[in-house]
Amino acid sequence: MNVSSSSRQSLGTLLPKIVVAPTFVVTLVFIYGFMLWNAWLSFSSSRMLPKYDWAGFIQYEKLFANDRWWVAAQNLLVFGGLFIVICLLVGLFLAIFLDQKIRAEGAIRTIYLYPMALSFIVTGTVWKWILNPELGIQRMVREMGFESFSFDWLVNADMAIYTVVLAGVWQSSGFVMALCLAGLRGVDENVVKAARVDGASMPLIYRRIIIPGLGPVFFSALIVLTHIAIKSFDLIVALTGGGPGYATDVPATFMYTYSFTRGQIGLGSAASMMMLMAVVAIIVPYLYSELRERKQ
Amino acid sequence: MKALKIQNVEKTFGSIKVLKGIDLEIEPGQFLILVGPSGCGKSTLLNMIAGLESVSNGNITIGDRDVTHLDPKDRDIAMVFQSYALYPNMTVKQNISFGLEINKTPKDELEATVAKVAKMLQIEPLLNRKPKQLSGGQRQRVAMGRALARDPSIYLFDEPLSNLDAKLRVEMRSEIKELHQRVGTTIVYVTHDQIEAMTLGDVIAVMKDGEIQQFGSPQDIYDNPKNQFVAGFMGSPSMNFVPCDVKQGMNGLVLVLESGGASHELPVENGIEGLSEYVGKKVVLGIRPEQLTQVSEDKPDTMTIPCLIEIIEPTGPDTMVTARLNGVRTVCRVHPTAQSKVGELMPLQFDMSKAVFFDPDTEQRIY
Repeated sequence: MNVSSSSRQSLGTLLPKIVVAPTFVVTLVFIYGFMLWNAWLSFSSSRMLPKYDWAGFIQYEKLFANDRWWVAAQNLLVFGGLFIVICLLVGLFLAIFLDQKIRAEGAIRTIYLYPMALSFIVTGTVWKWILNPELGIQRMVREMGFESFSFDWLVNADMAIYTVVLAGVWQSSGFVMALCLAGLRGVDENVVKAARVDGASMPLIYRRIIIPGLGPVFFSALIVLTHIAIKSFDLIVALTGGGPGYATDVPATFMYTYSFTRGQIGLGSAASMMMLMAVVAIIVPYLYSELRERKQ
Repeated sequence: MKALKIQNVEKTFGSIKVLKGIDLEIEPGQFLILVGPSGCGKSTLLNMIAGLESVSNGNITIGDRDVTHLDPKDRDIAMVFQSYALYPNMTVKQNISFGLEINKTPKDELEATVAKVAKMLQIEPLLNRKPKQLSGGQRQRVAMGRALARDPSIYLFDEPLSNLDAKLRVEMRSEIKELHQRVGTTIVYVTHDQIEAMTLGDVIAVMKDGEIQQFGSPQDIYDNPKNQFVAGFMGSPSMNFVPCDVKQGMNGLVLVLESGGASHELPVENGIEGLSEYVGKKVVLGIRPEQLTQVSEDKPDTMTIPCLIEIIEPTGPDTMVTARLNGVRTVCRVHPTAQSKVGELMPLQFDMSKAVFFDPDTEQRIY
């Protein structure tokens, strides 16, 4: 009796660990293990194939001397900055408009959220067609009779990065909308009533009371959007392929190009370490503040 | 000029009539209580006075202005909410001054008002805190401060004490009363708590199912309830309702009361003429616990009946004794030293001078 009950108990306590173990091992090896492997490679002299020697900071020196890397970094700043700011603004306004007790809200909400369900590859491909001067908007407007109309951002080296922003915003602002809408629904409606009795107009109530109360929502959205921006790869590959030339290169496409098509694994690893550092710089303070709040 | 006049106000949501023609008027400076069970429409009525809900039918006049279709901001009102509804991202000071700021009050006047209100409510040390950092009672004060700062012609209170614990509720209740005595502004106050209604109100409107059941002073409503609902709603412990047969006795009408297997005849005080129509039928005797007491010598005119005791609940100053009369449980307020034992017969004295009678079918008072 005793033996069987104690073994059953130990099975009960072991079972969750057994179930979680494979995931744990996979995460450990394929995420953290490969991260360390990548860090090692970035300090090696690897080119076509991995080489496990110690080359110090040579790869980083090469990286920082590379013009294309700085174009990629600058693109990331432009794309990331615009993508995040526009997504937040568009998402917030969509959420505010949806929160006016309108009809068919569920359907409209789904429509705006739907791009989130697509992969960036699909988004990029669709927008490539739409923005392609020979296929999309430019041709459509010209066929309507405006022969001199020109909309060639996709193939214009100065403007191409903004098409990436456009597609990215189209895909992600619905997600920000969903977050903001949840935040708006959490606002005590009596607070709004109190402000109305106090004499405030609705725009003023949004500006002074409701939107400041959405701080944590913006913060969460910011974290998610930022790491999407830093890791963005598939959207650019599908939409511009990094081109024209390397005008829309971002660190992720830079890393891929050097590691796998130009035989510069060491340099690619150094680039991905720089991206990791950027993500860490954002995530660590976030986790720190989150965990500290939970402890309180 | 009336402070507030509500004429035949109705509210319908779709096909459901929530308010069925409310009429009431109060004088400037009066403290009006809207009281009733949940769902009776009292909060809807208050929101309509505030302008937060549209009026389906009828008129609302504040002072000499018809405000039926005005925005809340144009009605010259201030409101205190049950959930306090403080602006979470603003400090206490900003909460209090927000309304003034919107009305473009000059800075020095605004500062002076905030300081005055903070002093009146003793929240000066809290002015720079956020609502999150306040206790329930402190939030309540800030919510009142926000209303006071506006200096409106009517204050509206929507169950402001319901979220406080019992002790704090009693304290805040007397503070609100004191505040009203000091400021003297008209107040409309919604509550479901009949004790709050009795203690605070100058006039009470008892509501049920979207209608005003009775409108009058607290004492009048307590002593002269119009129907069985009002009688049962006001007073704690509530009035006892004992169904009795009415018989013609030797010196007038008597009620037949049975307790512990024995039947007794209780003479009815004269003056209730309507009761003669009920001879041979049943009426509901409404008698408050304080009119059913232990036998005392100084009230010789009252009638004493031995009653079977079922429950004894000491409260300190009095003991609530539950007796069974005509099959229903009847609460009596007796002196602690006089209480009997459960299962025994205890002689109880019936003070019929304030007893009321209701028709068992219509539940209306018999006069």
